Amino acid sequence: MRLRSQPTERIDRSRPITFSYAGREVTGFAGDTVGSALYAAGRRVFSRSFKYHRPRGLVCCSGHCPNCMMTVDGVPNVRVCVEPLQPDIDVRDQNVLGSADRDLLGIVDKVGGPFTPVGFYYRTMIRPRRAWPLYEKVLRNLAGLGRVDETANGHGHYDTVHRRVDVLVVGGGPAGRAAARDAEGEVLLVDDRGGHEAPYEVLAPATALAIYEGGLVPVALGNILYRIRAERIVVATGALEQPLLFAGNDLVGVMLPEAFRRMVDEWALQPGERAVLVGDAAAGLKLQLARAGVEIAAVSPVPTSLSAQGRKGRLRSVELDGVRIDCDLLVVSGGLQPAYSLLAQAGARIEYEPRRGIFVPTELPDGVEVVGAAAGEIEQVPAPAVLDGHGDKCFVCICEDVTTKDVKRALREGFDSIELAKRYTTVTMGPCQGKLCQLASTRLLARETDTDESAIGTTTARPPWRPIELGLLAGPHHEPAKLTPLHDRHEALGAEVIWTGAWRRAFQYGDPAAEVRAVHESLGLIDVSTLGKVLVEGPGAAELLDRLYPNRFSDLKPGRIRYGVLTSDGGRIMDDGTVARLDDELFYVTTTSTGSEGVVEWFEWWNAIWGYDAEIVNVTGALAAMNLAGPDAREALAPLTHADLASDSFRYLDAKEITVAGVPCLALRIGFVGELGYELHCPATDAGRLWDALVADGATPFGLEAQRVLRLEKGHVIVGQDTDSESNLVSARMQWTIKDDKFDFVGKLAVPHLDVREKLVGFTTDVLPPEGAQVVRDGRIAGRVTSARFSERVGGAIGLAWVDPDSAEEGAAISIRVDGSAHPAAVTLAPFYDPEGALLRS
Amino acid sequence: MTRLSFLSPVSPSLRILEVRCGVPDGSIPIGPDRALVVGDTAANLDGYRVYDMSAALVAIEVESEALLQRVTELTEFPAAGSILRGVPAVIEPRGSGFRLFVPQELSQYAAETIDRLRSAL
Repeated sequence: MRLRSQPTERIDRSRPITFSYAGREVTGFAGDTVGSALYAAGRRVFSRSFKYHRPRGLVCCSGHCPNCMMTVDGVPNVRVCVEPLQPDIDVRDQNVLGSADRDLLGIVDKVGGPFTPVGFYYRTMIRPRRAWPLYEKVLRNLAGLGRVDETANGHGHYDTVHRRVDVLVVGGGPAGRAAARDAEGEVLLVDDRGGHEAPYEVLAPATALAIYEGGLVPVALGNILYRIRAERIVVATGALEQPLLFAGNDLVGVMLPEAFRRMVDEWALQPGERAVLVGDAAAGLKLQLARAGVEIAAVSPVPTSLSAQGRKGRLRSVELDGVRIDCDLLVVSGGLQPAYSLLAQAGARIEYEPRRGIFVPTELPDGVEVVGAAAGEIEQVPAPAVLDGHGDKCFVCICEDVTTKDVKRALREGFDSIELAKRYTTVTMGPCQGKLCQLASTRLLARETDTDESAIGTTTARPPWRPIELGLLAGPHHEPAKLTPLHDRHEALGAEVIWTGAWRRAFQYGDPAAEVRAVHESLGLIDVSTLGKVLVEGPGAAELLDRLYPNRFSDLKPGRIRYGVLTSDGGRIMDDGTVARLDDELFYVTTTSTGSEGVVEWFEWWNAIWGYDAEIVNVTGALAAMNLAGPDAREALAPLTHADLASDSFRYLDAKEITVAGVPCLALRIGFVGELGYELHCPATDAGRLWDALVADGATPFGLEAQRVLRLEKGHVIVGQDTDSESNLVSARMQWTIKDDKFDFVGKLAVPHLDVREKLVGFTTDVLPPEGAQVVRDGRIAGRVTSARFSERVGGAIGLAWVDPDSAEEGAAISIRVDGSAHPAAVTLAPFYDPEGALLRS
Repeated sequence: MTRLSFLSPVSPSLRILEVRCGVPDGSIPIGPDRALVVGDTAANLDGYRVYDMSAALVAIEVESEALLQRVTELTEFPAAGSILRGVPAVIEPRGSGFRLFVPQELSQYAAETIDRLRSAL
């Protein structure tokens, strides 16, 4: 049912739009919101309240209150009063058992009150304790608003746009437009209503969600989150109409003046037939009332008492100043309140002004200004805290169904500040985030504690200014994945690829056990491009490394390699790798796969203090690396290079620049996997050619799983896997890397105090324990397993574990708990395989 | 120029040098005393420490500012900072568009994501 054409209406009656509501076809017009179209179709109850499931109708028509929240195309909690109508959308009720008109959970309102007072969830349903899972299930089903469709793959595409402007104006009212017009430079105006023609840029309909440090303002526009940085921010957010507190103030038919005005002026709707107007702003609606054909039953700018009575949740009459009046529409206004939340977030001081009964912003932070009603340019008299009157419940917060009785009870229980009352009653914590209840709750607390509003104050304003979808904050779905230059080779070989940190790595190529055998018996090849790679170059490079590592590198001869472990100031293990000296002033450092950025930062941080003449260059991405390992490695490499590979020319722990298959390489003779091996580091762009040549030469690609078995056979530690933030070099039995005679190194002061409550040891056992399994001794927990694998070569399960120092003896008996049973294990201090390292040196 | 042969690609499609100890003329500054020298340049690099990063970085062309605004919050170019979800990048204006240098290991992610963002414009 529409009024005849209104001069300011936004609907286009020549363009009907059909959509679905609760499975039924409904028609509105272009320019309608979903809410206005439903109202025109006769809908009056738009939702059920959060706790009591009371019928709720349109109140603000501004997107502030929770009363019109519905599920639209599967997206819950859409405020349909401001949601533009689109063809073929699917609109459904939410938070109901049945429908919004007939909600079975409405029984809570009728009989549940005595059982559900404020804070009931803290003290009821806690006994018997074993019944809690049942209580929890029931409560979780009843609580919350709307349901997320867990089967849906997101509700659309979200984007993030970054902007930088000179002036950002938030608010498209007269004051905001004037500020934008007068501003200089690049000006952007954000308007939560429709856009307008202007000599400056307008984002609309869009909402500024917050003001952060550095002039950062996130703005929501549809599925796009704008992250706008502005030199100057002008807040022109206007003022918010406030409701009044009186019995029955949530009945369907009670609304704010702006809602009435928009319904008539913009959508040609008749909000009622017989109206009572209460409050200053409401009294100014006579023109619209006449146009809408609404009979005015009574007008009271400053009432002394008020209560509303209804039937089935709908307004039927009011008792105003002691007089009962039949009506189906009550337009009430508790005055205006400057919309200061963004300013408060930015750091402005918010003070109460008793003359007008409002909170106003003062002491604005640099770069932030406020104009218009948001600045407090409002003339009004203070509204009463509560209009006395008997009858139905009186709601302070319609979002959370918090009544005046709840707040009074919270006060009696000692929650006597606005912040405590908020946490206990949840007032101001609902979807409106205090827009309609902040001032009302402050007024009520002031009255009940016999103080004034300035002493009560406000709760902390926090982003976002209006609820938004999490998808908008998350932005477009994409996750950085680091790929090695050989990634396509691994995929072509059918490798199982897994995440290791941000890297995608080949875990295995089909048969990890066969891959292990290939390395032991002939020749294997693994992509280790993920290793961090760092050049340290300059006259101060050697001394810098001597101070960064507990180990010594200044006496390392050019062309040689040494193992190094980095520790923190407290002597804790941070990272490890090898250091190759390429010439007097140039070192090539490798780190763990996930450690390169951190190590480079660590190096640069310390060198910024010490000031050595040394460059630290992260070349991780510039270089690929692959480890050719196995007893046949030398013979396989020989035809591909002119380098002399003889064991006395290219020794274990030598580093040489050689060319392999036409590709320039840095070859490191090291052996993480325990066999004769060459780690070849080459330009990333040439890695494919080198890999192909080595595979063609007979090398079997092996993945991470095989590598983990092989390194465990050698007892090699993986930092982060076998160590944690408490591990130190003594407890990890790496004290041989500490050169305590150096005058200084990071962590030196901690060395005498290193705690050795446990030690890292190897073990053998018959049953493969899971990583993290408990080590047990004499019936008590004595450690934990960090790594374990089955080794064909050793003939059983092997692993590394932290054990108490008394157990860290060769052959010591320990037990490892697997599936609830303790299994015997024997401590092994030497490597399980080739303990003398003869194969590595061969 | 550093003499590290294993750092230089056999035949790079675009030569990219990282220069330390100063910012030569014609280079892209990436720090107080660090810069990138891209392509054939007449820049005199004597006295600088130079590292060949041709294999380390991949160049991605972005044709419009509107697309770039969805990729990074950087607004003054040339600039060194991050794009997307923390991908380090060096950005220089190039004609009516921009050229982004990103680590090669993240280049596939960056290129695919930027292409998806472009299609949503």
